[in-house]
Amino acid sequence: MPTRIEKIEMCSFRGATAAVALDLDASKPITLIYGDNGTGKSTILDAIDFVLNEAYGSLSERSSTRPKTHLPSLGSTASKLEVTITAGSKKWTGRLESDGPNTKGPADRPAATVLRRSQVLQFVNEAPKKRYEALQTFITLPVIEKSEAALRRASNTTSGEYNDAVTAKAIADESLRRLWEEEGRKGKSPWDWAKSEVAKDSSSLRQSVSTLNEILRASDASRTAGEKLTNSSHRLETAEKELSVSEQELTRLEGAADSGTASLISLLEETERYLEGYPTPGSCPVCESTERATGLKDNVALRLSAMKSLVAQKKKVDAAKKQVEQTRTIATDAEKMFASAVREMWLAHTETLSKGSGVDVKPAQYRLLRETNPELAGSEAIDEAHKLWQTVEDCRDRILSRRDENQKTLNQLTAIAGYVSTVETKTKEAKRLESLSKRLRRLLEIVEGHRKNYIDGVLSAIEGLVEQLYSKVHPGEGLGGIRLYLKPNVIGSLEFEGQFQHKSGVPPQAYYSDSHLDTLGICVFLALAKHFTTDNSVIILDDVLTSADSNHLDRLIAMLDDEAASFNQLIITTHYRPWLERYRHSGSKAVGLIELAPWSLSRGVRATKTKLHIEEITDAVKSRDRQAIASKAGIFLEELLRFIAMNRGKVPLQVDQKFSLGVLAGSIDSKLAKLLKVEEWPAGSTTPLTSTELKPLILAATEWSWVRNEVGAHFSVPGFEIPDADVRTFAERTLELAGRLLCGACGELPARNKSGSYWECRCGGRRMYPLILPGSIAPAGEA
Amino acid sequence: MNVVPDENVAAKIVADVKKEKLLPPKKVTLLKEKLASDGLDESDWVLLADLSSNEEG
Repeated sequence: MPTRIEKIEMCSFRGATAAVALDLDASKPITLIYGDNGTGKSTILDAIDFVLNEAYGSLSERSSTRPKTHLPSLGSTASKLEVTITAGSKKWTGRLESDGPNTKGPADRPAATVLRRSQVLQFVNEAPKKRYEALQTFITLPVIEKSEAALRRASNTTSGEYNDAVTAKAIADESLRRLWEEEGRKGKSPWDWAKSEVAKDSSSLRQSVSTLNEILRASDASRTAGEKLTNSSHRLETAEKELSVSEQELTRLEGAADSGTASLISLLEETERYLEGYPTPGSCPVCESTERATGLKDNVALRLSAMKSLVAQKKKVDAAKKQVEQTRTIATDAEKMFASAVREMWLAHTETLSKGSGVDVKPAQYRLLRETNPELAGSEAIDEAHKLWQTVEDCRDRILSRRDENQKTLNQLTAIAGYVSTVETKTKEAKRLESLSKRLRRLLEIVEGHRKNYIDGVLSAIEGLVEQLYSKVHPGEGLGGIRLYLKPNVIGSLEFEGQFQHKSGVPPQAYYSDSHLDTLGICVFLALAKHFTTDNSVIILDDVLTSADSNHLDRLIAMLDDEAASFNQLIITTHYRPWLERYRHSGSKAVGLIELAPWSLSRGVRATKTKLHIEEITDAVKSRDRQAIASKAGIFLEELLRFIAMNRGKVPLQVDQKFSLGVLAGSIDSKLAKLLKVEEWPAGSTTPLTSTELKPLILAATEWSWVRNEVGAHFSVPGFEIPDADVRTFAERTLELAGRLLCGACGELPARNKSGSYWECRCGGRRMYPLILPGSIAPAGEA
Repeated sequence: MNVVPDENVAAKIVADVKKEKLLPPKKVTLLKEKLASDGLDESDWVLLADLSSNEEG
């Protein structure tokens, strides 16, 4: 038993701002949902996608949207979002969880495959990679492709690493050969020479370089200490000169003053310092006289001020003495540091300096070197230290030369060891990588081969189906011959070519019209869907067609009707009213119609029942709405006559032209009218149940066609005088003609030319004659 | 909708790899190390698990 969707209940889901339940007629394989733009078509299909596929639907294709934020209706939250699908009396409920859509329900959940207009455009217009993506739902092998991508990456990097290893080995080999030649081609080969060089003990060389570097650093440190000593000696000399000058000036000033002035100044200064602690004594601190004790501190300051120059000079001399003392201490320390640095340098490297650097020093001649704890300050120590340092410094070039020579030898040995190591490790590595690379390439060939075989197999299998479907929509138009194939050596890249007139292998995008490309995209999708269909597959066409002329629309509808049985359930949404009107007119038994009312924030998505034309006329008769009866019956009759006249040769109607009811009635002349008949063929019967000439029915309806103008189309006083019975008669005659033409089983008009002898409906329950008026051009396929 | 035939294709691949003895256990280990050094793990190459178990069996 097919599992078809019967009901869709939405709460706080996208456009469904108010809770809504949509009932689908599960007895019909096709459901057409019609609505103007913005009425909620995509909301309904996204709801199906959400529950059945646990997907975000069309929202995932739109930029700057966050499904978790924007999937709930405006003003609602994810916790309130709930969508329930009922199919085959089973229910599946989808909610938006923290990790995405989550559906709960029985295990045998139907699977929905959605084709959106964007995919059609992507398939026909985009580059091969995008085209592949448009069909990826069907032809992708996610596990295999993921493995293949990882394998390809591993193969590429392995190949790169193998090349790197080989290159690194070659460079190391060449470097060894060059060194070998520079060294005079010692040994049997560069490799033998290098191995013997690496085997040498280089520790003594390292020790020598290290020692010589330490001597140079010690000599530099001694130089720095000597420079500091020179600077401090200069500063001491300057301080002593300044003290001498200050003392001479003080002597001059004291000579010019009274003999006791200097002592008096000292006394007054002592007194001033004493009075700092006792500012208001009751008596003189020396003679204990209370006379003039008041203001004593101020009086002392006044007297000292009077001897200002002498006092200032005395302070200057004191400061100069302090400066001399400080600089002398610093100079003494600098002497010790310099002498110590030179002594330490010598003691630490006596052996090297004596043997290897040609320094001619006799330690016994130096107290600085001879004694265990020599005096490090003083002119004798400094002279010895300077002499020693200068002796070492004179040998600096020889020390440097020896150090550099040893370092060069050491560097060469290190380089040789590095090259030898590189050759050995890269040889092993290259061998390992070569083996791995070969295996990876072969693995890749196997994986890629099977993936391509599978996808090419699918594409090849559906080519016939595509051709079959496309030729139904475009019979005799010189189109088709579609071939789909993977672009060589590229993952996920789909090419396609077709036929235009008599030329094959052309890119359809270059020659086909937009409408033809649209229908081609739809046919490819349907072919794939049919190839993979299961008992509970739901195929959804989301607003895939934007325009088509009447002939092509009729053929597309006929093709979908034919194929509906292959898909279990086909749900179509459209904003293209002619599509809806075709179904309303025919009253197809295979199609359930849902029409969406205008959307509003408060009411959300709402569906209205769509009435067939026959139902509308019947309802109008019941309600005694004269104008509605006349108008609707007139339009319906016009459509029936258009259908009868079309492709009968007499009136090769260009169906999109506007013909009046009168012209259409007149087009069915006596020659054609004699031949027109409809037969009723119940399923399985070998003879017709009824055979009805159409001429009387057409005449019976068209003789009342004036009612349409008088009552249904104009404000007309004569029209007011027409009795209700006449208006009803017009409607009844129209319905009678419709009743003979429309198949009671499938609801279709006999518009298919399968036999080459007559027109028939989809199920074959109605046949109409003639196929063509004798002498006219044969019809292509569908009326 | 799509009855993903990954498993079928994977089975054919594994059969071919086994037939050619391309991945003995040591090589599988080597390949795992290689994938890891490329910043990938076994989940990136799903088939590796199948190949490993088959080889070890």
